[in-house]
Amino acid sequence: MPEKSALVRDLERVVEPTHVVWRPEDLLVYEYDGSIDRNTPNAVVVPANAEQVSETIKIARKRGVPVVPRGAGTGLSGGAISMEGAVVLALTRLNKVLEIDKENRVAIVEPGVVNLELGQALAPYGLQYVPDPSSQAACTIGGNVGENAGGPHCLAYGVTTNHVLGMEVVLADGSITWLGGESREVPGYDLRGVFIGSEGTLGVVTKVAVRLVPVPEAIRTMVAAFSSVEAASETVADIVASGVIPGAVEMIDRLCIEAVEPAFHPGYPEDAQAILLVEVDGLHETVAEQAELVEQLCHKHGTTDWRTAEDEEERETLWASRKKALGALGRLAPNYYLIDGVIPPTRLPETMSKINALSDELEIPIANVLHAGDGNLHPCILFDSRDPEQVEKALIAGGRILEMCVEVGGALSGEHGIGLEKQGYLPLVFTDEDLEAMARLKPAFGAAGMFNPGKIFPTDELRTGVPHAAIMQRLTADVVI
Amino acid sequence: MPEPYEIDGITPSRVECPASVEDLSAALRTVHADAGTAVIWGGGSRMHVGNKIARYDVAVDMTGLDRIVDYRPPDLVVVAEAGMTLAALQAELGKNNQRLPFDVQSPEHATIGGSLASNAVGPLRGRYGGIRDLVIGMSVVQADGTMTKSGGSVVKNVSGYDMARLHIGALGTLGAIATVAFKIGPIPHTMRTVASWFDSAESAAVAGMRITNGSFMPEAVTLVAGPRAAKHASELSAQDSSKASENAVMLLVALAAGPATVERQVNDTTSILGSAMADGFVVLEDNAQFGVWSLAGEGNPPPPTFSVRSTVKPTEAFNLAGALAGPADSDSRDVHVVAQIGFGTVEAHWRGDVSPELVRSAQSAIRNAGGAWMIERCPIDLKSELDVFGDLGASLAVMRRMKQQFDPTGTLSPGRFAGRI
Repeated sequence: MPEKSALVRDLERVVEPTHVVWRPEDLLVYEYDGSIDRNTPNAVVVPANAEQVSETIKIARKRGVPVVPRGAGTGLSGGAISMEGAVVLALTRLNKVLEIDKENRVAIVEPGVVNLELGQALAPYGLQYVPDPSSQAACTIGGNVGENAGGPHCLAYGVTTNHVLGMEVVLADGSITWLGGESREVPGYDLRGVFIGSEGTLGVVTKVAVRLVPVPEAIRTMVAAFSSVEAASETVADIVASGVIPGAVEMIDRLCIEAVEPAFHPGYPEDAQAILLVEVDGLHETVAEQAELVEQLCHKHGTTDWRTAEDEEERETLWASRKKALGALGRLAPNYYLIDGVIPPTRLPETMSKINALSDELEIPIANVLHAGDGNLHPCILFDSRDPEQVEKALIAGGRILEMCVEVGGALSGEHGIGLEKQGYLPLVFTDEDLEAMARLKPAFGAAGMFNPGKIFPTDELRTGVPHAAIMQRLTADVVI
Repeated sequence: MPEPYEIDGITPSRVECPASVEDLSAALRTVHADAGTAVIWGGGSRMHVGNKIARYDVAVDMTGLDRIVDYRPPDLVVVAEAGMTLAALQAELGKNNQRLPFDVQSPEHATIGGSLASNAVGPLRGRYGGIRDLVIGMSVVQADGTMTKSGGSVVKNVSGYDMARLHIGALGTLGAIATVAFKIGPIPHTMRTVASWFDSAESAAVAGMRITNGSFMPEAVTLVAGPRAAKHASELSAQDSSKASENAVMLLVALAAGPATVERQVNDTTSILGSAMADGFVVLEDNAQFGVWSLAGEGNPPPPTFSVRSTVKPTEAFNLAGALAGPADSDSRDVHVVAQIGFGTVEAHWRGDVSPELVRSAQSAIRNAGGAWMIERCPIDLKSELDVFGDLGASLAVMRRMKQQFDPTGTLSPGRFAGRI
């Protein structure tokens, strides 16, 4: 029979005992996030307000225990996984939309509000919050702030940092303060800007002021099938170069089509090797002008099948096939490892070819679903986590893809963050001096050693050894063969 | 005439003119090693911003760093050195029918680095956001000469902390911006300006909010108030014999897109202006529209003696603009107020004597509008009395630690930033 630690007893004085999770069997739920990694937290606290967040942090600090903020746990880089015996602060009870200011287009929300639910709350006002990660049915606004989340519609409208005006945060000393505000700018250093995307390493967000935009008066969603990934990639590069900036340009390849067609019945042609989903939005006149150009470019590159969503229902089916593609991959393999590299859009054709060649070389299937317009790749390496050989192969393939991205002037992550997953690869793009400068943010926020330890920055072991060694070790430690 | 490289009456003993990032690094390393202090100098057009500098030994003139490092038009990305002027950058991008959707008062002088460091404002920020929203990567030379970078040159990137944000608006107090990667876009096919005038900021508010919040996505919505705006309105009204009151305020709306879209936007805008009882309006095309946009700046030399800036909620921007423009019979009427409605930024520029009463009334107007204020121009003696950044509350403690982390010896513009850090 496990016993409560002194820490747990302290925490039970901050929130009701039912909101402190500490029994090993209960903690299993918090071992995971959306990544392939896992680790068991010390304890989990589910606070109801900022004051309880502050008290929890003070207790953890007193006892020398770090804290990891957690939203819905849908993150894909291990950001919400507790390392170094950290206490997890699960913010799911902070789930209220506090204010919607229609005239000034600002909403104040708590961090546990689910992205899609915010969208639903805004719909009656004719407004929307733009960043729409594919996990939007589950992921929270606080998590979105932590990871500087993106989504398909970031091509035209930008990512989370472009849509968050300010946050109320709890810092390492337990103080509650605003970074930024409800207006679009405040004097002083842009602390809001450096906090967004800091992966929970600088403090805990307890309120978020988000910028809203009107729902566009017209939207046209188009689907084009291609007989090769290269032809589809060339089309994307041409669309971006043409000066039209569509709301979204998404691509899925043959393997993904095989998974989504039986799941959602979007009606893609049987012989299609790649599908482009292009959405233009705005004024009726703009949409008409841009849709015509997009259609011309698709035909120029030999689209084999072209159609426009006839109604909202068809549009939703098409988007479901894209946004829920990852879930459908379960039809093909027990696990997937999703890579988040970014490349310049003009390098898409050659990079997609190289990824296909890598799949052949390592004999491991890779399904591709990507935010093609901004060059944000999402190769999904399919494997079975019960087989250590397949796990290692998946990790090697992931590393090779990240290297390919860096070689063509790209980035390691477009929207998922570095977390535990990619910290070993950070030296591919940043020097020791770059990383040392970044590390100074922690003491500046008074957060050294306090929040989400063991993330983003590569350990010495990772710098000198195999970048994926630590993950491999964690994943295979308790595999039952 | 101010001396070259003078700030608040202080001139440096030495000027460094680096021609490369390596030179810049070497220059700062030397200053740092000598326990000296340096100011990073771009075009010099916004050096009046900030608190009084505590010590100033070396000016580092960045204008030699004026090259494009990488420009890939089809990827919508450009990387340029910080000393390049915005006009030169836009000219290069214009060759491919592209632009950085960011505008400042004097692009032929203002440099990329200076505009970022001083967080300069232009009418396009309502639609495209501040310049911070267009930066995707940055390299910075630290106070001790160390070269560092963050971000990259792809439009979407969350690899590591977003360090570039720290240097935007930091007045070069945390490091010297060396190169910047921007997300760029196409130059719109067609552009029109609808210039309208009202008898007060209050009466312009209804039309202004409806246009700003209209579904037709204007490029810019700017309100200008004060004698310059009234004079301009009077000249325009004479052309079509409509009326313009003595205290007219102007609402300038820029519309930019494809031809069919712009035609629709012009119709929507003018229809709102009609129903909101504007005293008059004109639709300007081609070069005819540029004159009216000069009203969005602080005006011709001599420069204002007192300028404040605040960003408030858009609904408050009209009230604030009205309050700062002052009552019609006020003797402080040599004021020019510019409000970027969508973003909520209101700037007011006064010429003439700066009385304590003027300072107090501006501060109280901004406070009433729920804004934080920043004094961008004021007489030197006033800078000794107050912090031009206003009261930043609890976040100032974090800012102090930030300065301590990035410039512990106070090499870069000591005293100039908030809290005199």
